[in-house]
Amino acid sequence: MTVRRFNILLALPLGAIVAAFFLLPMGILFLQSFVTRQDTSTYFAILTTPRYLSSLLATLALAIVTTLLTLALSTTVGLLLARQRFPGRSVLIALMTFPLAFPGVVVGFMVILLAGRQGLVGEITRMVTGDKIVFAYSMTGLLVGYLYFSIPRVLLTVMAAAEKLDPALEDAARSLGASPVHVLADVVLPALKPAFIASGAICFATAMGAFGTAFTLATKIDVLPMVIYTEFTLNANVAMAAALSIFLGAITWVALTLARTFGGTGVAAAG
Amino acid sequence: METTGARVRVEACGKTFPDGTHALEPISFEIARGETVAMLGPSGCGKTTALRIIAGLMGPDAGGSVWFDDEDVTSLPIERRHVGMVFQSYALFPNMTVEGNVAYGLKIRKVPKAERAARVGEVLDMMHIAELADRAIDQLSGGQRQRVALARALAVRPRLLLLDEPLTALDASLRERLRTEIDALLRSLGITAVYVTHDQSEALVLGDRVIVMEKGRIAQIGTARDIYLKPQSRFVAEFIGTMNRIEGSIRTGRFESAVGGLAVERADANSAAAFFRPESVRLERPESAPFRLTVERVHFLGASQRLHLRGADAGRPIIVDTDNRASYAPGALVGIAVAAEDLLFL
Repeated sequence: MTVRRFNILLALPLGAIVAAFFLLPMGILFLQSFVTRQDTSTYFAILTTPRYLSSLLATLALAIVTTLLTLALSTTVGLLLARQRFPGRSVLIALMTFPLAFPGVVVGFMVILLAGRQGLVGEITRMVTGDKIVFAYSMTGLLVGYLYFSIPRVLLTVMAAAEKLDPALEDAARSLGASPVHVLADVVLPALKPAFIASGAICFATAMGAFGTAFTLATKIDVLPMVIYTEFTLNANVAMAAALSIFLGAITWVALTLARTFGGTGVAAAG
Repeated sequence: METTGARVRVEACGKTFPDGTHALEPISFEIARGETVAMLGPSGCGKTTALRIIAGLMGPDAGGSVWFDDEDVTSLPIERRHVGMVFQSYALFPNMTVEGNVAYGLKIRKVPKAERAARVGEVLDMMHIAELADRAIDQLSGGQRQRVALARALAVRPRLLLLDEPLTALDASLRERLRTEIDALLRSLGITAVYVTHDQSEALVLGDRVIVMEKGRIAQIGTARDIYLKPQSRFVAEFIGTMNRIEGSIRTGRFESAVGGLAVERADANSAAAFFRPESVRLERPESAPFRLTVERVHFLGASQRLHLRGADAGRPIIVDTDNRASYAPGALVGIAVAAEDLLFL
């Protein structure tokens, strides 16, 4: 057997996987989006129908806010955990990464327990102010749920990057007169940029496509994965469901590609 | 380039870490204006801890103080001490160009743009790296990085330059070249400098004075010549250069050992060791020499030859450097003598 043939043989499993999990489903999905009308009007409808457009914008906004908040929170916590050594640190880290183990439905359930009609926040606010605050079934509830499962992924990436930082970098900046704020802004955060881009992209992609949490909580709100579900199962509008899926995939893919371009390797989709 | 070096005084600075280890016993010394002091010692001797205390990256234990001229800087953090520091890992900011790195300290100090550019240009010229100004850090070689690190530290015209093993990460030939350059630079700038190293040749060449450290204490402070020729302890004697040792004892004016003895002007000591350098040994006929040893190995080096001699004990061999004339065969018995002024008893 020649080397060339051997290499082709080695490439076969990859080819099979690409075909089975990427090309065929994507192709069928693409074809499905033309089932009802044989032109691009289904795609056009996404941008002109208020319901689809508002759900698209809401999902985008939710994913962006989730990503920014997650990055801010995880960076603060990650830098602290990466630098400080204290008793119970490893337990705390384990606890912080716990949400990785939960499916979206469980996360949604926990948000309901926290901020639902019989939730903890509601009980406390009722006792203190007399008004029961319930936000589990709103955009805020969804955001809390998304933050809950996004923080661990970003936190671990930021911590790993922060631990690899040469401590002398900060010493050097300080020796040149930089205050702690300057050290953070001029040295630490720029050095962590690749980690931010990589983990931020994953966070964004996950938030765009998250279904379980949305399914549990979104009784009043329509995020894109929920709309796709409704179109497909309840309305039997397969063409629209397919078009929306491709739209969702495209946006996420563009975000990941941009991240990979600017942030180097190590960026992959998750969730 | 104008610089104003400070006089530095370290007073009773010790350091105990939270886990209880004494990294540094309270030490005191002074550095004169414009002087370069090399701190030399094996790893874990406390030299880096001492440097970090002088720099302000770390505070001394209670009771210790650091003075720059007549100013007590003990409680000032490094960012307000106006020092320059060079690190073993260079610690260049990867998100800035060479120029950005060198300009950083001036930018923080809000030096106006025009003056900043002029001063950065001046330092880059001085370090012979003007052509690298726009390069990214990851495009530089190790030697170039070290030059940028020095330029960055000097650009702010510090009152004290602190160097923490700056050449350790470089290969030998480059290390020697940069050592010569740093020596010329420190002398021409007249800046006060502390140079931490575990490499004795760096310490001996660069230090106006050398502080030899051992287990968190100062073992000896002195010029390179003092440290090499008049070590005050066994540790210093054996840490610097190659040193021979013959164990024995002194009784009634004579040093006696398993391989011979000689008259000495010293008080009795139950155990003493004679220390001497390979280059101070004279080879003599065994029957008339104070010490008699057997040739174990001969390394002919061209201009000279190095003999490894062995006595009765199985310890380290006695090293002797001699000229290339006579030839010695392994197994032969030789006699050695050392002039009284080259012989140390510790």
